[in-house]
Amino acid sequence: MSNPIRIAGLTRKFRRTQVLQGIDLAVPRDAVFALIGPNGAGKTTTIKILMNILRPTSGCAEILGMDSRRLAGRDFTRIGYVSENQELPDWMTVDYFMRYLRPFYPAWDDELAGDLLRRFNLPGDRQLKHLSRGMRMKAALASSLPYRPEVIVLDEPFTGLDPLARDEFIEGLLERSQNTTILISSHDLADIETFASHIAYLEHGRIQFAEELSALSDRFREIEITFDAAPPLPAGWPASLPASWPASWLQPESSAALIRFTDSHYDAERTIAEIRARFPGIRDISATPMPLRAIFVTVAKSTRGVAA
Amino acid sequence: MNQTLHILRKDIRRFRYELCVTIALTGAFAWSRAAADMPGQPQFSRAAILAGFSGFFLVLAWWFLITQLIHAESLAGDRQFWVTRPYSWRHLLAAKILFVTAFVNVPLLAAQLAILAAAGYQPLAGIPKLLWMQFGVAAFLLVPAFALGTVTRNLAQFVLTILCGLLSLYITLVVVVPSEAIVAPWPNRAVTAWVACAGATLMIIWQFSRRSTMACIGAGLITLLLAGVVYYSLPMPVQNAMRLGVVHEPEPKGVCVYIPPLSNASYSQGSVSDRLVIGLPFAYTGLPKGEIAQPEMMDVTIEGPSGQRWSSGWERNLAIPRGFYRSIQGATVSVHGSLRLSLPQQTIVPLSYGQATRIPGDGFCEVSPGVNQWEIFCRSPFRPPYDVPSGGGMDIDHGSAGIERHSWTRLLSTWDSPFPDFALSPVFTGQATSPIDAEISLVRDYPSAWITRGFAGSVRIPGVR
Repeated sequence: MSNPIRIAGLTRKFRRTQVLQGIDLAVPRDAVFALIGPNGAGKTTTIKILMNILRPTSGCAEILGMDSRRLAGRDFTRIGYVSENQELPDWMTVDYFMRYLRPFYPAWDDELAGDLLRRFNLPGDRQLKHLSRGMRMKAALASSLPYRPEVIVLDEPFTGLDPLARDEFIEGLLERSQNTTILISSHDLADIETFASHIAYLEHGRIQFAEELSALSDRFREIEITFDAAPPLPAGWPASLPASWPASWLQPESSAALIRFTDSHYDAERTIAEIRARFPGIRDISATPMPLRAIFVTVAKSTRGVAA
Repeated sequence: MNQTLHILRKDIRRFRYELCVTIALTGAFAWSRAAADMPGQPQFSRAAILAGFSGFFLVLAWWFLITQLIHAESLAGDRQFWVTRPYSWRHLLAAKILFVTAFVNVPLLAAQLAILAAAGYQPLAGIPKLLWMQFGVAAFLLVPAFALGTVTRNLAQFVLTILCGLLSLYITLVVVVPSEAIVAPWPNRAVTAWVACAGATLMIIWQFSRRSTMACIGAGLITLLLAGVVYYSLPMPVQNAMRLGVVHEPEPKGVCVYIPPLSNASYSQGSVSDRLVIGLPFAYTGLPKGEIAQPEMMDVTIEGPSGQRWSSGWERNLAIPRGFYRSIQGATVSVHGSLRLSLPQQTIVPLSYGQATRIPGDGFCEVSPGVNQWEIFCRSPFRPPYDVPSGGGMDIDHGSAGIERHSWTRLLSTWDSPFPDFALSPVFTGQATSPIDAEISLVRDYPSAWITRGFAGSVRIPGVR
């Protein structure tokens, strides 16, 4: 099983609102797969369908080779799930919560559980309702790792966490989840960038792209072209560009002797040759790698422009 | 099984304080009920008031406990931690049922045994009837609360739903249902209990296995509707079959129903303005000596001289539309159909003054002197000793010897159900008073048999004045 998570043609409708419009996704084994997208894109819905909390309208989602609609009981001994809005049994103390969960998992490792509690500085005698938001998330994660799940699904785990808590959360997750496939949805692109191996961008209920993070970083460049004098701009610039304008050149803008855009399919030789063919009088061309946040903003603005 | 016990242990730990309160209330109810059921206690004694309050709060405590228990692993909503943990729904449901059985049903059974023993009855002999009472409590109080808990997310939703349900019930009773139909016969009540229990059980299993809240709410509403329909209009053949099933005496042969030739029907104004109620002059032959026949239901077809035809279906009374009545008034019409009869068997037990008298059904009545009147205290297990007390009197003129005043008090018992009454306590009491010079008796008027007979004949329909 090379892809522990596979989604094909997944749709979900809430009354008249089509939240997911045919998602296809494959998460490779041992990947840390980030699902990003703006609010309301359908990330949480996708994850809830994957966990059999919601049912799909059509299409299918598979996790560890099982149809998500049949996921129940014992299947969850192989899956960890942590969500920002999960309701925990607030009356339990942290220690009792761990003790209570232990018999449900044949592979529960007490030593690892204790180690996680220490690693996360979780007070064992405190009730879950008296923990801060960050502490609760850490407690939820600590209770999802000691049975060494094959897949961990995290839905917006960083929401409301301070930077220190985020670092501890990520470190704790990565240190103790070797040989585990992780699917994580988040807005926190800076953190995602530090540890994700794959990324998928979801907007308007559709996957806009899904690929390895390194490939994504390689193909997105911020291109800046400097001219000797004001360049000849295409008619309708920049609101309505001619049909000959490459579709991968996003968010074009210009000032006096400068044109700037983002190339979403950057290839050094091809891109520069194409620029030179299009614009005479170029003094300099620079292609700067982009942080994930900048890529996200560019793609979001572009897809919104297309949608509009 | 291990998972069931594991969840059960967790729930006991979680609800230990609520459990203590519930069990204390059960104890208070048993103690106060036993004290209130003793002869010589005033009707509104301190014990009786405490028994009333503790019974009321006990039911509230059960509902609260059951709701909290279900909401500990809430089935409605999509944020619960447990749905993505290796819970088996069967074990979860088993743990919840085990909890309710252990901390609601078993303490109640113990309380009922104690109440029976305190009243001087053999508790173990009443176990089958006590189990039936437990079914009644489960069908009407526990299982519906359990089902409601599975489709609500929190206590506020639960309480709001109950308040809306009570309001709907009140409006239905006041606006829709005729006042004489509010208390339905026992077959209707028994089938309603089964329908409610079966529907709620189906809801519970469906919700635990599928967590499909909207579908379960739909199933719950259908169950309520069905229970309402069954309560008010259980088909007559079903009622009859149930009654027949519990009357063990053989049906008397040779009883015939007929309409005497050249007889007149009577009429009266029905409860609905566009209908008139016709009385047919039924006569009977072949009745056992000393017995009378009591018409209960009839299915009658009337055919007028010009071919007009009207059929009643199974009804208690023949309520005929005015239009049809006008078309046949003054005419002799042909009538045929079936008549359902009960053959009441009356037992009169005179009650002795100043001592206890045994009454049918393992109960007793005690008549003791009060202030210018007799005070009557009756007690019986599993059903009320009597339904309604009535009194009357007449003057007998002995001529020169003067006028003798003869008065009586009758405690009428018409209970024909073989099942114990629906209540928390298995011991029922009744208190009444009687004038000092009255003869006091308990009249038990039960049907010994139910029979259906066909008839055909003709009657003259009187003109409407």
